[in-house]
Amino acid sequence: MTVASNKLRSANSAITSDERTFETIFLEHYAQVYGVLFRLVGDRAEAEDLTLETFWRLWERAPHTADHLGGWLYRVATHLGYNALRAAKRRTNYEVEAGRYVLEHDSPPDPAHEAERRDERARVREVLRRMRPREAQLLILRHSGLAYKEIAAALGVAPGSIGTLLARAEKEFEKLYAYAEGG
Amino acid sequence: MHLTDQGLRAYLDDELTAPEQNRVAEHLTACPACRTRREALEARAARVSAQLASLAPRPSEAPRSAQIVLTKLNRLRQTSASGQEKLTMFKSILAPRLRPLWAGLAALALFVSAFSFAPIRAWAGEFLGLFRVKQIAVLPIDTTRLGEFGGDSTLEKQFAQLFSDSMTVTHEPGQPQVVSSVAEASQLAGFTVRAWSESPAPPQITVQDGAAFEFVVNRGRAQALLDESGRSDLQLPASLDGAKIEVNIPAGVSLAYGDCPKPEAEAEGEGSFGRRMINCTILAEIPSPTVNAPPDIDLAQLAEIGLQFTGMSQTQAQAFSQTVDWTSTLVVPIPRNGASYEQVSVDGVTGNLIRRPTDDAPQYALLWVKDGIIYAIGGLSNNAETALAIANSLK
Repeated sequence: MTVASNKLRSANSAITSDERTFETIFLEHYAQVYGVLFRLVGDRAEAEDLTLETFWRLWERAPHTADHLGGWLYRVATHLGYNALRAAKRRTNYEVEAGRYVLEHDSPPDPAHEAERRDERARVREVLRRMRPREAQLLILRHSGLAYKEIAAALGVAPGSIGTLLARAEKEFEKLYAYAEGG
Repeated sequence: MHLTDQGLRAYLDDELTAPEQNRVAEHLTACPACRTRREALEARAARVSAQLASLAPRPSEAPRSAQIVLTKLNRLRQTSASGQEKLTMFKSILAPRLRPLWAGLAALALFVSAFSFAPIRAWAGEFLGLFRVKQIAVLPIDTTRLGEFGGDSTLEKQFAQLFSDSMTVTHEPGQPQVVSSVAEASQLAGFTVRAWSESPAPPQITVQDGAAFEFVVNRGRAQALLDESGRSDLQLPASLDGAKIEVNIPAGVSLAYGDCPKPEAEAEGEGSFGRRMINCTILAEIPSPTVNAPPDIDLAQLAEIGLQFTGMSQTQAQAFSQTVDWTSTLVVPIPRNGASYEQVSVDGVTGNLIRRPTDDAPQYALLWVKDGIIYAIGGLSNNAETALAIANSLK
């Protein structure tokens, strides 16, 4: 259930001096860290930059004990991503995104469907932006596939409280979402 | 006793231990109230999950391959480990405590040590600095020649020594001060500070105290150093000897937007400077420094000498010199091979956008002058759109 943190725990704690360990950790977590960041910022280039930044920080000042590494990594990622989410204006990268889609697929996207998807993403992010940081981060981490234990380590809360916090965050999300949809 | 939200929610995610899962399941068969709650929690979790699913990256939004990114990361790490080689050019403009490029040029004698070919900059600063800035010209220079010269550290020290011997600081700059508002910065700096009106978050504002110094030119020593550096063909005019030059640099303000390192963190982790600045954009503003010099000094002539010293031929130096009004133009030297520049329309005037493209830490600086204030925006990126957006929405 906590695959990621188990792998980390088995890793050498002297990360900075161990090239192979750093690379192992990177390769194991890259996709998931990117997934967390992409959900928060919604832009491929920005999510990649922040992913790089996260691992850079890992290399630069890794926590002293490998035990906390998984939590540390996702804590840094969610902070970076959440700050970027907060800082982002309601950008309209729609044209760029549509253009990229056309380039990467043979057929152009169905415009109506695309518009709907964009609006949905914008609405969900707006809701996250309005939520309390910890609740928004909790939802993103959970929906990026992290286990309770990993989420607890990332957010610095007790694993036994995640269920309560999650239920509360979902309630809050739904309330704000309904409001956003109505408004 | 009924089930808690904690127990129910964790049960739905299969996050309880096996005995706990069983216990909750048993309770649910026996308790209609908890079943109702479970259904409500489950339905809500499913709805929220469906909504959040829209944020997941689609195939076209997948990241580049881990191996490519890892290679890039390793290169960054190696660069960092082997010492800070890049960023020298815009470091001044990007530094949180903002050692401004313009002040750097005008007050070179104070700040030269950061540059590998410091003495040349110092010369340029002295000779090109007799002005009140109204415009900016970018001058690509051949750094290979400067590199040769910069390697001679004895000469470099002598130049530095000459400047320190000739210079008297008349106003020591105080420590930079962090202020909480644009109004406070304006009051402290003594001019109307403009800020990015569309900024998503308030900037970190620092006021850098002004400085003033004067120096008296010792033509004999300066010429001796020119001779020693193999440029006895460059003759300083006799009228220069004993000329007193007064430089006054007003207080300036820097506004840091985005994820910028705190000023006190500047010294820490020097090697990773670029990475720490990656989401940071710095806007710097300073009223034009003023330089007073005796009226009989021929600025164009001195400028030509300075330009030749940086490696230009006499013809090139003359040609460039004639395009510039030396009493009002701040000349910004950039490495010919490492950087490019273009003129852009910005803030209602013409500005210069300088770029230094590199794989790992591309940099740009946007410079312009408006109403007697010099503006500079620096960042680490290939695209300077943020800088232009900021520049065009200053209020």
